Amino acid sequence: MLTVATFIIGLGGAYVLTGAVVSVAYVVFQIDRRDPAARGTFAFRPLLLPGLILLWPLVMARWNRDRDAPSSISFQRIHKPAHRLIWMGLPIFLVVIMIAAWSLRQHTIPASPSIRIGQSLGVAP
Amino acid sequence: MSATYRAVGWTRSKIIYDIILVAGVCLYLVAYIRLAPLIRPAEIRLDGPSHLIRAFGTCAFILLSLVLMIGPLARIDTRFLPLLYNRRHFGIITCTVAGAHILAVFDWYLAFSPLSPWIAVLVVDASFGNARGFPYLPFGAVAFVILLLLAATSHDFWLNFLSPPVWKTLHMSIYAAYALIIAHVAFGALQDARNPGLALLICAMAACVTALHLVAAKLERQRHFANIGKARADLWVEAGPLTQFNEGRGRALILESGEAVAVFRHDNQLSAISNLCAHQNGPLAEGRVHSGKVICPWHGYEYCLRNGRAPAPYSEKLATYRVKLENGIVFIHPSANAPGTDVEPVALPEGSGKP
Repeated sequence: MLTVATFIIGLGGAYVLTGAVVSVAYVVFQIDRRDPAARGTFAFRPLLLPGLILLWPLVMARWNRDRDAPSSISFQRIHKPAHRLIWMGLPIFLVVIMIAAWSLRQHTIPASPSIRIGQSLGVAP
Repeated sequence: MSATYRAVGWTRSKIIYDIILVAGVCLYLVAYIRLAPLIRPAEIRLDGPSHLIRAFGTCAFILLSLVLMIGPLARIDTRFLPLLYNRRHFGIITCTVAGAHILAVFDWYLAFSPLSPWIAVLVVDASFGNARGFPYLPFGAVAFVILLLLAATSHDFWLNFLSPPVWKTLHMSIYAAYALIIAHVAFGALQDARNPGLALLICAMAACVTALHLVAAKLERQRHFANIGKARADLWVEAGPLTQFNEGRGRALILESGEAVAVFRHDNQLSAISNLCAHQNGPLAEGRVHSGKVICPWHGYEYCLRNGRAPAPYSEKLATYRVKLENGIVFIHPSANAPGTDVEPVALPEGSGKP
């Protein structure tokens, strides 16, 4: 498990480092070309770094390509049913989680040793 | 989306909103840290750092629950709309408090580990094969990654970079984060909780969040069916009698295709544009009309009613629709014009009056 954990954390570190390089390059060299609203403004750029680091593969994929702009109509068609599905599913899911957790609960957890010793001596609070 | 980006779009109301929010968070943390040791029975009393961890954890959970309640509350009653305007700051503060919870855990439970806390957190709770004592840390860790991603992509730049549909899909993962946090608490702190306080808090908050969403969903469904337009043989869709259109207000109409259209009566004229704001799909029919422009009730984006264009220097454009009036009935042609297309408003006859 330790080897797997070390590998996962190493991989995560490499991802973040690569993201840091890509994100700095993007906000310095590329953002003005890809987004007209960014031209001549600099104060907001540091705020973008965490997101650019997390999503750097997407930033690389869009480095030289404009995104396809879908219509707001298709957007609504997709999201209204999705929202409804979530609203219906969330209560069921939360109830299942609570029931599962309750059934696994250890109801007879003993008091800590110091408390038990204190109780046996009649000095426990 | 806007003319030029700003780091934070401060307004007076946003500053007041943030001050109240931060003050509320500080007050909660201080109250929890001071009062919890006094309330908690002596046999299950915790040390100071554990109280701090729980203070941050419960605060983040309450904040996230409140964030999720704002959307349905604003749909149920428009008086809650001001809470919606600055919801992104609410989310960022929630993520910050959740981050403080994690740092407090690292600083207390993992501070003396010979391993890096990042590695230790993965190996210390890895009994995935056992139902009893099932690891609860991964639930919280994944939930935090989602909160971090949402906070990191909350600037308007991301809406433009990812496109509104992708951005909205990404930000709907907030519901997954909420379920994961409930699992994190249910399989963690609630397993050995010996007073009902935490269980009551979790159940009450989760019940409020889900009940509000279900009520809002039911109301939206009723509004949706009430607004479906009847199509005629010549394709024109009936939007209702003119008397139902109030001056300076809009009415939503759902076409057979599922498209939502907002029809406005303004300055004794009729115009129709898409009901979906280009920013975050806010319901424009519920917005105020001022000088021939509608103001989105969610974030204040403006659109000219005759061409669906945001006023310069902004560049957003919405689809427009043709309107006609026959025998006192308003009709919409269901074929949307290209976004930004100019459509001459229908002048209402003298004497139609202002309802």
